Amino acid sequence: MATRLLLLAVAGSVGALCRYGLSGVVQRAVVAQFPYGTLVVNVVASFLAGLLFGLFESRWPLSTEARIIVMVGFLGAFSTFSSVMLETANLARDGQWLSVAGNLLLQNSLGMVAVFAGFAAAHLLQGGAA
Amino acid sequence: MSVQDESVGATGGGVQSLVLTADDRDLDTVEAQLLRVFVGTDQKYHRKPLYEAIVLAARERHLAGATVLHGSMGYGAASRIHTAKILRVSEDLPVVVEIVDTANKIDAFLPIVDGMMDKGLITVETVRVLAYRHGVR
Repeated sequence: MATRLLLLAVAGSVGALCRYGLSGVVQRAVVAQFPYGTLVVNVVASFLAGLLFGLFESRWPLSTEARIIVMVGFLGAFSTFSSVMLETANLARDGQWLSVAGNLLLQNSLGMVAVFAGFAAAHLLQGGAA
Repeated sequence: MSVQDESVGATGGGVQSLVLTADDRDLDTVEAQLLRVFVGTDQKYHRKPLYEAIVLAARERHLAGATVLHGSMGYGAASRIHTAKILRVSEDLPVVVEIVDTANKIDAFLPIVDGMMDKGLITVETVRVLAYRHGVR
């Protein structure tokens, strides 16, 4: 149990650092009052979730513990729901309703598309086997 | 405008203050200097927030007054946007320290502020003082 918690903490740290780095690079590159950094992070995280879930199912039959460490530890820290809500609320507070709708729509729709893209990528990596 | 001493209980020292006389109130000659220091919330001076260190330094040198204004968005020489609205770039938000006093005292304080800052902006402009009161009538 202690080992699992330690590995979860390490995976979470790596995920948090990855999120911090990627969202910073994206947000500074676009110079906009729209949270593109968080959007990109969540879309990438959704893609990785689909990809890894697909691969864990067949190609990499990892233990439940390893899956939890990667999916909960790394991806849990890498992706962020609270930031989406906070940034959307900040946009709403300033009356930027188009950005509010756009953020909620893009986060959900692109996130879902990315998960299915991850499934498809996992399928391709497995040589197209059903 | 005249300059007078006020006792300060906490330090026991005297504060040289800008005080308007009756004759000054409708005169354009009631001039002072407004020092503005633009820094970031994350900037430090001896492990203390820089804006706080500037205010304390101003008080130590008995300047007439200082005000810290927190900004919610801005960018500086690096052209890097900081905004409270987006979490990832909400660090190092802009802070402006405003200090008003006579030209001599502002000029004397400038090298001190300059020595405390590794980045930021300092401006000085002439202002008309219309009131400077401490609440005791």
